[in-house]
Amino acid sequence: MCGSPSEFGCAIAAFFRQLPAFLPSIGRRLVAVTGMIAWMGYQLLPGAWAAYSSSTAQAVALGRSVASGSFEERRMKAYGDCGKMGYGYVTSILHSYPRTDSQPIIRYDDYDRPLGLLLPGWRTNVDESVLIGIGISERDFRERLVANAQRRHLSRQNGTTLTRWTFQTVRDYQLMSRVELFFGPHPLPAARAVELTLIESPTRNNVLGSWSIQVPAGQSGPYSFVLPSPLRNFSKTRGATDFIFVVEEREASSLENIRVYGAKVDGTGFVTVSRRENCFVAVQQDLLSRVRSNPHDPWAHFIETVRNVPLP
Amino acid sequence: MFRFHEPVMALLQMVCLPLLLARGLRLPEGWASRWYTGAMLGGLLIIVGHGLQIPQPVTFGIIVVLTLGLYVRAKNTMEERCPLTTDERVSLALLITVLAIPAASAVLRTVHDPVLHWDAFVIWFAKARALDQWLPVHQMPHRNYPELGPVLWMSAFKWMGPAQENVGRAIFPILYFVWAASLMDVFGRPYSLSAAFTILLSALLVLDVQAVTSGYQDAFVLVGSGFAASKLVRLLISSPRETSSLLQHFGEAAQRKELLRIGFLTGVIGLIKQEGTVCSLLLTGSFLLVLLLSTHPSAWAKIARALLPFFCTWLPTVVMWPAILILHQVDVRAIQGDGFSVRSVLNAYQQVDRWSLISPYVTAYLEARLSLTVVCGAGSVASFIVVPSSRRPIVFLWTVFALHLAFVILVFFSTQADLSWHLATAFQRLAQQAGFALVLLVFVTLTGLLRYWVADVRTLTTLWRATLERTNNDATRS
Repeated sequence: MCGSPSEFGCAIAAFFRQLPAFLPSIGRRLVAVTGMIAWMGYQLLPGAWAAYSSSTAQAVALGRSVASGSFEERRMKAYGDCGKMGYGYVTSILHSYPRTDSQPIIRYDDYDRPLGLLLPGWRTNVDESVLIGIGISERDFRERLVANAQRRHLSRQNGTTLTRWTFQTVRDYQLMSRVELFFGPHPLPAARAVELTLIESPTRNNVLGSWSIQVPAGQSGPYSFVLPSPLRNFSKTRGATDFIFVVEEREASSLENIRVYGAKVDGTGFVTVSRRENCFVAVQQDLLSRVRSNPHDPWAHFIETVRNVPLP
Repeated sequence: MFRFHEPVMALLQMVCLPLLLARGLRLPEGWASRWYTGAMLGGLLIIVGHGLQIPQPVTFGIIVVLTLGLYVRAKNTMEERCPLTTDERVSLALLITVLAIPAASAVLRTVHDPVLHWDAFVIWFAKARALDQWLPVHQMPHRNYPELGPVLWMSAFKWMGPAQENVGRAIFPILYFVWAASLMDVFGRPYSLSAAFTILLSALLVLDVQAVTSGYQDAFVLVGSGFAASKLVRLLISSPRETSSLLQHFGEAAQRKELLRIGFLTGVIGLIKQEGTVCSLLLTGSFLLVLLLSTHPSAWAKIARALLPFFCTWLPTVVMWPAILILHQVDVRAIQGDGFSVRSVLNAYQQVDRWSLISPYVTAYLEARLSLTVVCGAGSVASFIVVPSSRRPIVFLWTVFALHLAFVILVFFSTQADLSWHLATAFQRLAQQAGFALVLLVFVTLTGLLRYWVADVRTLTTLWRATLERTNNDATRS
């Protein structure tokens, strides 16, 4: 019988006697393929197992979390109340908002987010008369240094020096109010005329502003040039896109640095009606006057509902 | 109050409509391939309706009526399917049971987290919401970006409202795991345990949970390209090498229908993202290259003619989005805002000095996948020697992988945006899109080797049994 040890041994011996006949066709290949499969499995299995086991652990935790709370609660946590995107604060303000097709201007301390996408309904218009600030302090209304421009290119044409400067704002600034020009030798031996042009970006040649600046002789230290009218909506969701200054001087250039100043939030003409932590609601003075003269105005109810600070 | 019927209806719509549509079109393969094809076709029909400014309820009504009509018509003439054997059932059960856990985890992650990541929020969710409002194409946010992903995302808004966007977003992890499950069809019937095991291994290795759940579309490009690539690989595996047999094979009615479907699936990647069009071109070009180089030049014209059904669906699908943009007088040359222009792409060779900034990203990308890439390379060599039928698919997949990497590098040589910022925010995501090639390489090589190994072991087992029987007989006689 094949079960007895001696016959089983015979069978093994017979099998190995016949094996060399198969080796050229199967044996070597089988050994090589087995080795290859084992090596691939050894290399790949730990990574796959790690992904599998972590997803198993996560599935349990996520399942518990999904079952224990509502999606709205998780939205509130993710988008923030009076922080992050200010979802909770804006939603609470909009409860008494008189319009369903529009939303206020919403400003953040870093850059704007399209929060309107998260709000119920479809609010395509923006009410310029109401401003909501999220994470914004008093400092954000004041002028501050926005960027230092870097000189990139210099050329001379017909006795005029053209220099090209770039700067990035990264964050959003509503106003550009001032520039500081730093000249090499100071005090300046003679008066200088500088033509300063601000261009939108390397790929968009829109001129955002152009200024003629007269720097008096004897100027020592930086020359501060206040823009005759501040540049509004100056930097919005630009990321790392360069602004370009083109500077034209009649003599050889001695301009060493340009500093750009502005404010994050343009609060001109707005009156704060509500404040919580670093969030606020402000309305245009005109709207406030209108509401005061007509208490039945739909905005009157809104202002009365959200107001928590004394009005001027 | 929680309204239970809303998510149920949304899920039913997501699951059933594509399956019914695919069944109505009498698609021959397994449920995963059918569902995916049905979902893509449904999405394409919504895009057409949106592009032609057909009112939204009419568009949705046409799709439902068309789906049901096709299903009822096909139901009476349904072909008998070959029933699954016990081994096949075990293989499928293993695949689905094991895959169900990471799939459930990814779907739960999607349902748990609101959309938060920047591009997913300001581009893709914004498009989904605008589509929900059925804004004309020229008024859409980021109007140059194709809208297949937002269409699928938005389709659940009808039941749940946009505040429950997480339910619609669950379509993206589902697409990933359906693609993984559909790989069973690559080697055709009978389904084997080795294929199920290899799918699990390869699909888990490149799974990036955040990419598939966040609403970013790069994982969808990976899935779309992977799906098309798996169909092209199947075509290469099943096609005879000899030219006349190959032509005869492509001439069969079933193959012509299959070519039509593969053409559609390859073209539809261009409706996901702008890079999807490039992936579609790379897949088609590499497939043609491999097929033509493996045949005699005198037969090339005949092969091109035989592939006509593929181009009949591929070309209209791949040019559909630019055509819709032109119809709405949107400048098709504006690729990703001001990021690129024809001139910047043509002048890319003048930006050689950028390599010093780009190379660390390429190195980091390859180093992070070093083990996987080396395994794919070694497995490809072994499979190329041992498994003749896997040679053309291996060459095809490596060609796609290399060309895709070259494309990603070219993107950064030609970008007009700030290079450091662009590299930091986009390189990883772009390069990730080619992950499907690695999944398929692991799958094709390891499954091929395992199939040969199983066949060899069976031969040796037969030899062992015969030896044992002979020994027994000798013992009985003596």
